[in-house]
Amino acid sequence: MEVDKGKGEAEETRKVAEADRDTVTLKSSDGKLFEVSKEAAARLSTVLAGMIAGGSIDDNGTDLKQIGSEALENVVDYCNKHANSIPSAALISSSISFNTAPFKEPEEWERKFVDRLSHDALFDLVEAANFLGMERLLDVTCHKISEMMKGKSPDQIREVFNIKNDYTKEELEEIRQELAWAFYDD
Amino acid sequence: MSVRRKHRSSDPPCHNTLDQDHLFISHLSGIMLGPNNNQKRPRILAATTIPDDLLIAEVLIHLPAKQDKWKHRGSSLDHDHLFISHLCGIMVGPNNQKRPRILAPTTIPDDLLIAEVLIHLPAKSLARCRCVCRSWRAGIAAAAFVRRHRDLSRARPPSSVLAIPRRNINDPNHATTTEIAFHRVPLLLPPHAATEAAPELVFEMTWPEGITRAVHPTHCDGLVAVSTTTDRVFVCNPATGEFVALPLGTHNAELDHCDSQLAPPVAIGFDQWRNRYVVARYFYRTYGDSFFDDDTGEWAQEYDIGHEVFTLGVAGGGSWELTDDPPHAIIGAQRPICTRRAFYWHSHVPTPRLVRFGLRDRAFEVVARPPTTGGEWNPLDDMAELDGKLCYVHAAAEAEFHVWMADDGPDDLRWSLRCRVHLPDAVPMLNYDFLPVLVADDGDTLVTCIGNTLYRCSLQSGTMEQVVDMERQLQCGPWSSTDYVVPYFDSLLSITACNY
Repeated sequence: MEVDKGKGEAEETRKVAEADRDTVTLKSSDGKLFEVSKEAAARLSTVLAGMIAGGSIDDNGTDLKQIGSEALENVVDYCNKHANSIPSAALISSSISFNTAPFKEPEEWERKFVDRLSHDALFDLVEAANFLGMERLLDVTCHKISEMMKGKSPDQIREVFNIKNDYTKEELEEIRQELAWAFYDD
Repeated sequence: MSVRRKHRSSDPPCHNTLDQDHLFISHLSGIMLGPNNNQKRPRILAATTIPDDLLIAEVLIHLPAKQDKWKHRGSSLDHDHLFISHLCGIMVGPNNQKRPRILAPTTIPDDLLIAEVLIHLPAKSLARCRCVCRSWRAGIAAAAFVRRHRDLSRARPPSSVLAIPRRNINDPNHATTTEIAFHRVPLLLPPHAATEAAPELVFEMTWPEGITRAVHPTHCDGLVAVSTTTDRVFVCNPATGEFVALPLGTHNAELDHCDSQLAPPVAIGFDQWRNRYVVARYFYRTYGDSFFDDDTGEWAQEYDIGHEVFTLGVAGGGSWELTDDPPHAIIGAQRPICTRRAFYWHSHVPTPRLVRFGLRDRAFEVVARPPTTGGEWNPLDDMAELDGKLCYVHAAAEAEFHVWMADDGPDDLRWSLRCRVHLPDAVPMLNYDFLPVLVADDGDTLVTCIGNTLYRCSLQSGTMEQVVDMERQLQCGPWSSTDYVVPYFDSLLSITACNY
């Protein structure tokens, strides 16, 4: 009993200490640890917010088995940059409206943030953002992919996204004629 | 395929006892995955050092064709994973031994790509995307997609105008032409200075029956109503290349009296209560010229005016439907204001007034017009909807304009004077028309069209600066553009079918 009680107390102390910390540690699928501001994580990710609120954050590194270290590094980088990009006075009010806000054009730093990513890193980040419920990051990354698609022909798009053309030749010809105006500058 | 916005969990429940995988999953989508789906699937990442071009051309091309499996999702337990790999262009499974990768369980909705990526594309790119595969075509055609695409366009800062140049030939033998062209003219507005500054021909077409040279466009959400000097009204969505001639409306006797350059404008707007776009026009059953009555000291006119509405996207094509008659004579020289709630027409007989036609109750009422000095009205006055607000530009003196704004709402209008503008380098004795077109994202920059030139005007200070010389940019010779410019808006809205 004594031991159990001691263990319980230790657990309590640990939890209190954890609650006092202003960062959370996240662990990627390949075991790398990343620290991110608790405030930013809770504000930008509905999933992390839920975990922080529910006390299921592990002090030794919360396992995110679904996210590789490269993507997680980008997630953390984004959270830190985002935390810096907004005046602190705006933090509290934006925490509620964030998820319901209509799409806003990426800001300059967000553009730079996604522009430097390779295709792979970008697509991994989309997945990570969706997984973590990071609305804004998902918007920004998806918007970047859509920009990459502009001006591409159907063939090029199929290639990039590895999509099989499931139209018959006749159907495709029909659609193309219907949409001839969209191919002016082909 | 239905398109839905991904699940938003703004207030995720607490799960102290669940393990983290369960927690993620339940937070993300509310879809409870069974234990089989919840197994750990370690992903082995490879460093990406291959240049992007090479990656696309040489690597991605060898990926397995997952689209087939994706289609038969009923038979594929793993369609979520397939979709992600499909989305991400990531190499999956045994086909590529160099890069073994087992995907983690996920609750990404199947339609993430359509709902989150394609939704940002302009209509022209989306037309090409419809040729990619059947599921994309179906996704793009879904009403939820079209609505969301429109809403995103509404929220986007305006960056260009749509110009419909018409060569102005004052010769009855050349009153019509078979051609009509729609050009997108980019604006160089800070902070989003356009990278592509050249105008783009968005859409052109030939209408063998002829379109009068004088036209008057009005717009709503990318649908452009083009009125002519006859009872014919066209509606066009330049972004999708749809061009429709509405059935002839009731004859407007005003056309028999006015000069051949007058194209009485029509109103076009979205009736949110019926989820339909509507075009409205007035017409005179009898029309006498207005005259100043010395006895009463007011303007007078013999007239009988009617008003009719055409609902777009109605099965069977639809028809013009009569509404109540407007309470006063409407003047065709002034473009109506088309807002989300109502159409505002200008009347100047016997005294200047604004007449509101509510889209909800389909009824007219007289509302306040701006308190111009002495209640003055000038035939050069112009009106527009700017970012949800009503704008009235009063030509107060030669080359001097007063910009009034009012909030749109169910109550009477409360106008406030935003700025006074003096045209720089104005030629004396020349009548300038100051057409407000749009307000930039900063809420201060008003883009106006004067002659063939677009200016930006600061609402704060009233200072003017030339933005685009359209006559030079469009290289289409002399044309009178003042009446032929509307904001550019990219949407997939159909004119004949309610696809939203």
